[in-house]
Amino acid sequence: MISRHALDAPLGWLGSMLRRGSERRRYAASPYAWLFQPYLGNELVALSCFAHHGVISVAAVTLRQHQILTSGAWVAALSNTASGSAAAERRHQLLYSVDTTLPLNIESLRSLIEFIGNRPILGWQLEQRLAPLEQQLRRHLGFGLPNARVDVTKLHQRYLRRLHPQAEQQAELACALRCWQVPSAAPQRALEDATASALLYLHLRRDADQVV
Amino acid sequence: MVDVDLSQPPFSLLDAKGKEQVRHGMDLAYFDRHDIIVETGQAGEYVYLIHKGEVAELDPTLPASVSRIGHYTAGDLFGAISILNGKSRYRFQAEQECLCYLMPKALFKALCDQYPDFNQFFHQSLAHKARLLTEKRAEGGVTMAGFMLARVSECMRAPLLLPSDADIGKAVRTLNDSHADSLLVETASQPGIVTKTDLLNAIVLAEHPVTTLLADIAQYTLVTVTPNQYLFEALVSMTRHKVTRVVVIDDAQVVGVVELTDVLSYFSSRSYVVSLQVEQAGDLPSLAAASHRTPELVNALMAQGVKLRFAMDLLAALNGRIMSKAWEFTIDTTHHQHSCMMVMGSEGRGEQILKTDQDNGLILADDAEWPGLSDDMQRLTDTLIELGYPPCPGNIMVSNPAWVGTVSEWKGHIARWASSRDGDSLMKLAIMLDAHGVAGNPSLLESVREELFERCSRDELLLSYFARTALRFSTPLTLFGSLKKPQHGIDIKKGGIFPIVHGVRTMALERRIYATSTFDRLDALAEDGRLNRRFADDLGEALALFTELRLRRQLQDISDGTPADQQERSNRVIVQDLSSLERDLLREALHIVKDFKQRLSHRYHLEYS
Repeated sequence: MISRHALDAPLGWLGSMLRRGSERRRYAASPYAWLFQPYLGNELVALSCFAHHGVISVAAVTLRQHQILTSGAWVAALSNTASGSAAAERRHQLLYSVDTTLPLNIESLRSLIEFIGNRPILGWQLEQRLAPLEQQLRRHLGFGLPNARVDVTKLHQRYLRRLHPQAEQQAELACALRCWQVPSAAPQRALEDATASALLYLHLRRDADQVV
Repeated sequence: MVDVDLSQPPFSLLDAKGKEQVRHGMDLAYFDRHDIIVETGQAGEYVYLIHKGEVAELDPTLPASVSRIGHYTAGDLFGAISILNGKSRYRFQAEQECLCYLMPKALFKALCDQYPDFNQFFHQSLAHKARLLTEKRAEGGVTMAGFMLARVSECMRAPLLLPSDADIGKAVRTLNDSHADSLLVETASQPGIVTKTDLLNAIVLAEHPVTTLLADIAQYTLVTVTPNQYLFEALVSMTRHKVTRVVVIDDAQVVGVVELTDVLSYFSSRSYVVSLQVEQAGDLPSLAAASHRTPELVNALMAQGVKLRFAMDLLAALNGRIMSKAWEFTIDTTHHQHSCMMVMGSEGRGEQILKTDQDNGLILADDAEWPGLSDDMQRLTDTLIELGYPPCPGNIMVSNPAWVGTVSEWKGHIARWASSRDGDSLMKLAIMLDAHGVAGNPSLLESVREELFERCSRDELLLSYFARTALRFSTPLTLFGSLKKPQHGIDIKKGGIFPIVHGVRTMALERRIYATSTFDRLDALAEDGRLNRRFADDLGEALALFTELRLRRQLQDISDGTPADQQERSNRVIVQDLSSLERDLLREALHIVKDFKQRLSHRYHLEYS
């Protein structure tokens, strides 16, 4: 396996591209092959991921054109039985209002990637937040999420800079929502965070259409 | 799962489990400006609850200027009708960037099946929605929820029946044994009532022997109610007839008795005792004390969610009693027979819930002699002011000699007003038409009203002039039929109450209806066939809604301590502050007013005036 740090540090995009290519070839004959196929539909998956103390809270929600299918969302806390504690699980439940807790193993990760499929994923600060999840995926399944990605943070910053070149860049989702006047309640929670980033994406994409 | 506010109807009709189902089943959708959310003829797939933004309901078959038929803002619900009908009749289009919660069709149908109330919400008429709102407020009532909905049957006691051949001695023994105050006597034709007072009077004053038969001393004019009536209606009739017990009759059979003390024991909150206090007041200060507590009573009634019409009845009866007591205290009994004090305007119609002003006048018999009349009348007006009735700004008070006159003088006034037909005369006719006698000899007022109907009801030209005033203020609806939303609110008195009251008054004049309350007039007009029953009910419902909105504002002003000279403002209703259901109701009610105005202008030929 190619070392993560060796390629990521200087040329992140080239590294991940090469790695994705190699993983696609490696899993070409496995049941996961379809995840590496290019996606041709019009859906996206908004993803948010919080990890502390061996517990990862994940919320994934489908975005179909202008609809956010919150009723069919995939929300769970993945708890690593080795290092995670009951206190950490509880903290996640309270903090991110995640009701279901699953053990962090192949089955639960598989159900997550089955949910995501080969659809593109989007999220706020996607790379940073996904890092712990990716790490676990690699450990248990041997590959990271191969999907195309949209980092809403970058979109936001690009549009903000275009409008106000002097504006200070903020890394808070709540600030971004306020900035574009997107209504959302409590982006602190896992599902709301994913929903809010999806709404922000819809809003920004609309702006993009208008600019073009 | 989404975080959505489910405290407003129809979601407040669901229990916790239903709400959880909604939360779990809802999706979110984002619509850009001018996006079409539901197209005409498209099958309804979702119920939409707007979280942010505005949506217009359009009928694309109409020309663009009139195609807008509805407008929804944050908190409103649409799309349910499309699901129930199978497809959407109209097009829904986002007017702004818009964020909606989506409830899938399957979930909506499941909820309709599980919760009949929820289902009913989407199938109901204006009156139904109004009732719902009242009930919702009743839940918020702090004191004794459910009291006002208590029926007579829950409070009555079994009647104490004696055969007609029983004598006084037996009656006293029976009363003592059962600790009661009154008993009923069965006679062949009808039951009679005997109270302790009757027994005492019979023995001491009339000096009957103890062996007198009860049938001879019983009273046969009974005040009756049915077991299914509301308890406070029993209270209303007690107040009105000045008695302390009513007999409960079911299918011409005596089934029970309701005593005032029984009713009062239900009224554990002191505010309900106002009517008792009025009745017991022996002098002016105690009457004033009782009179000043009526706003408290109104507040309590409103908190209980009592239907406004009943509250009005209760208050009208109460105000009538206060006035007539004040009259008794200030005017010498020798004058009672040949004079009649009448209240006019809103008070005459029994629609003055809070004491906003006093409109009253005096009719004297033609042969009356009353030296010192003006002094007495000045004193009466001052007394009423003391009791909390502010002076009338138009000086329509008994202290003004113009509103005191003999029967023939009044008839002369009416003849002059009817022939001159200018604004002032028409106003005075309208005021006179609402007159209601509260004290003295009411037959004097009857003869004056007879003259009024005789002069006016057949005069088409006068009726046309008279009705025109109803169209004087425009209905606060926009060209597209939605509510106008000026910043300072819409004037509900001019826009809603006045056209209904005046229009109904005109019709009552035409049809010679003696009732003065607008609700009674509507009933009578429906009976008469002048209005169809459904429309009359709708008008009554609309009037009740407007009055209620205004009353709430007035009560708030009282609690805020707004000075009396700014009360013009209290007729204003800020549309933006209402909940979406109330807004919906208000809009529909105003549409009814608009319709009514059109009928009026058709009937009285006001199209070109």
